[in-house]
Amino acid sequence: MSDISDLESAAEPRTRAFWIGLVVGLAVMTYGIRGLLVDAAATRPTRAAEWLVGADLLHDLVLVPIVLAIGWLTRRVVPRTLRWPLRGALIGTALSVAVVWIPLRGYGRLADNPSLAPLDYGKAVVAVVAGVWCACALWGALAVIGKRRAREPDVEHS
Amino acid sequence: MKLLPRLQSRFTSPLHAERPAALLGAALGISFTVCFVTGLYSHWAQHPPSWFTLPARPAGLYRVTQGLHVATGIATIPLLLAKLWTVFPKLLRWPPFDDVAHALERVSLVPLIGGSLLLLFTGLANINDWYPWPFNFVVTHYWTAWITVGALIVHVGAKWTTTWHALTPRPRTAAGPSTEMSAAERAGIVERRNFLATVAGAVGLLTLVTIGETVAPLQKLALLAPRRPDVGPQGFPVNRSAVAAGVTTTARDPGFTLRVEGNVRRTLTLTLDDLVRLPQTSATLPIACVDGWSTSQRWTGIRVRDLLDLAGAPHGAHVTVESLQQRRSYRTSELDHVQARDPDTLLATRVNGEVLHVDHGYPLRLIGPDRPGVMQTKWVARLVVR
Repeated sequence: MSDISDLESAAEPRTRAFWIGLVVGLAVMTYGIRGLLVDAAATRPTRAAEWLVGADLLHDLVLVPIVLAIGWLTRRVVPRTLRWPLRGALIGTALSVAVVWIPLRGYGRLADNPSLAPLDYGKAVVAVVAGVWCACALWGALAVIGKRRAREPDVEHS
Repeated sequence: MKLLPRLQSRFTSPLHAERPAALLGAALGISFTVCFVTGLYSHWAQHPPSWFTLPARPAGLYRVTQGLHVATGIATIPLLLAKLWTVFPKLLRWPPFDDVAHALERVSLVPLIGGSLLLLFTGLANINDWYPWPFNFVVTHYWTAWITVGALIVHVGAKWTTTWHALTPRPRTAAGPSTEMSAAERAGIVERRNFLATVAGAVGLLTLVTIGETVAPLQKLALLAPRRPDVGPQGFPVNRSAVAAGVTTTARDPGFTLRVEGNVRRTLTLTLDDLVRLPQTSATLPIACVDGWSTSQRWTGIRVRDLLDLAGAPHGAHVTVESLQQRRSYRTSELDHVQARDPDTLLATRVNGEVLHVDHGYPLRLIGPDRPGVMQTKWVARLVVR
């Protein structure tokens, strides 16, 4: 069984796939970077690179610590059986809000085009999140029932 | 630098093992490939290279490819975040690389991760018509996709053996695996299954609440989608309104005429009355927006090929379709000889039996099979034959 110790292993084995991937991948990346530079007036490569590295840093330095903290908290506070149903509800909530954040805040909305972002996204996201929590509550209830049944000794009925 | 290995050793959860990383990696490999291929198709449809001819059939092909592009992009969000979570401890590896080749592979993770996050964020913002960045979306999204896919190829090559090993079922012993597993191992398997089930659920959830913007039977469930295919003037959405295009006056001008000129035997200047007297054709065709929404409507108007024949255009002619709008991109679009001659390529005057709403292109709009929505030019005033 693989475990966390896999992550501490040395570099990947230098198979043929490694070298093919390296050569082809670097060639494709070079083509993309060249395109970004040739179209510099549109792409503004320095600013695009700032956004790309910024996305990396935002993920590693902000999002990951938040997830770590929530993961740690659920591990400390919530019983094992209910841990994943709760995490599922939190993940579903976070993703739903993230996907709808732009229309929820009214970004991009145009007064002359009511067909863009036409719904009441506040109500919509509440409805979706409520559905997520209901589904996860059901998951949690089934997990608890399953665990109780597993503890009960088998009884033969005559 | 002993801090990093010490930090890495704190990540003891079985979620950071190779198998979930390999499973998520395989899923991401599929989703990125779908996004890249469908994205290339959309880009070539709008900016065709010399060797590319946009097929006119099947009529709904672009609707499928672009719907798939956006839906897969949205589904990729939880997949990517989960994958980054499983492999996060590898970031803390020390020394960070062993030699030059390994350094190149490790450095390529910066464009792979940053590029993936940037593509998903800019794509999501684009379907909401929100552009908070200082660069052109279309061009930067396109080239960033090439850079990210290049980095992905490097990564796939490097991880091929490990992934294959992690996904290959292990041979079972005669006694069976369950008797040999410790309680901790069984708990690890349950933990990983719960994690992967949660990721799969998140993918399903986001798909379910957005896919209805292009899959009509699910439109009532499209609660978090930026468009509803049944909402807008005459019952379907608008991408750019007449106000935004600056044509509210010119489009309603009673003296409006359509000119057909260029490589023709006789230049045509046709009023709306002239156009209505020409043979009318109806076709059910989709409007498929690059933003991922689409809807089929019944259009009625004049076949472009009938106008070309009336003007005496050569059979293999290409046509530039020009709008009344004076500025901004997509003021014109191209019809190659296949699209121009297709019997369903129309200059529509009506939709579902009603005169076109000005936001849908009154008095005339181009509608043809398998074309991106931005190339279904509205407020058409001129056809230039080449």
